[in-house]
Amino acid sequence: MWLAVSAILTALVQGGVPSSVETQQSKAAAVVAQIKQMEQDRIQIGVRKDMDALAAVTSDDYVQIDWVGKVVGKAATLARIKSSDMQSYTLEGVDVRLYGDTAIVVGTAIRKGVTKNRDISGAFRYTRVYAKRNGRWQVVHFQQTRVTETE
Amino acid sequence: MERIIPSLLVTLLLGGMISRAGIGNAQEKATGWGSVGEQAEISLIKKMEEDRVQAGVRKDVEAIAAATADEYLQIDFDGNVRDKAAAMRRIKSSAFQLRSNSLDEMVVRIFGNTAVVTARSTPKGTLNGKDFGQPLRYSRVYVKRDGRWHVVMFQMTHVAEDK
Repeated sequence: MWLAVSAILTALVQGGVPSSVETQQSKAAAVVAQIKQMEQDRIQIGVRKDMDALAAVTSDDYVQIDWVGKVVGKAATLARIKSSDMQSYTLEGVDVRLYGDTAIVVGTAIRKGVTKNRDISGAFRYTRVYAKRNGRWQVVHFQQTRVTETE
Repeated sequence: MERIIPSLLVTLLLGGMISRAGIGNAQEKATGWGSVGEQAEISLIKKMEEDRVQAGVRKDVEAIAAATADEYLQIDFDGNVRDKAAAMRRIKSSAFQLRSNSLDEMVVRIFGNTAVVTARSTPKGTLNGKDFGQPLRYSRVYVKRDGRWHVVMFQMTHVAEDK
């Protein structure tokens, strides 16, 4: 009887109960999946101009370096999105790296559209930085560079 | 009376100093990173930025590699993506000659063990024999590991308009 109980306990400890490393890995994988989803959501809410939703996932100290090297804050970024007319916007090769309560996203945005009568269509490589504050992930930084791929 | 007045003055001065120190400590505790410690980290990272660009001019790849994480990624001004090895090869390459590189408008923001630097850079040199000197705006992300800051991400964009 004791042998059976012991065998069950051993099996539970060895195979049935995840180790702390496995738990951490699965938590990290869940956060990466969450950030990837937030990336897709951000594009969609931008296209449909849901400014409240966009503002909620953007920190007040947000800074963007845009495709012409201009520094733009949160208010100006939201105003620009509000005045844009985007026909399509997709993301490719999105990669998320976690560093504690910070996440760095690298990807390529393919878009077709205009803002303030300027054509902003093309492929753009970007870095987006998220920080977790009060239990919520928010974007704190963004930079985009037009892809001309000389190499 | 002559003894009481200096003693009173000493008490008042010491009392004031101690209470100011107490308030300072309380503020530091309340804001956590946000005070003296954060300013020291910001100064350190600004110095690392200046050192890094000067090491680039000297082609001191060892110094740059030591402050660069193995998983480092770079997006250059043409949107090319490079890992650490490719970025180091480029610095070492004879095709890439950097005569000078000056930085301004530098801002460092700290988020826990991560620091995001934004700045304007004016590199002057030649690439494949062609002169370059167009200003860039860049982001460089540092992560603190084992007590040391390492660069994990770098992206640059040519400044086309500066309004």
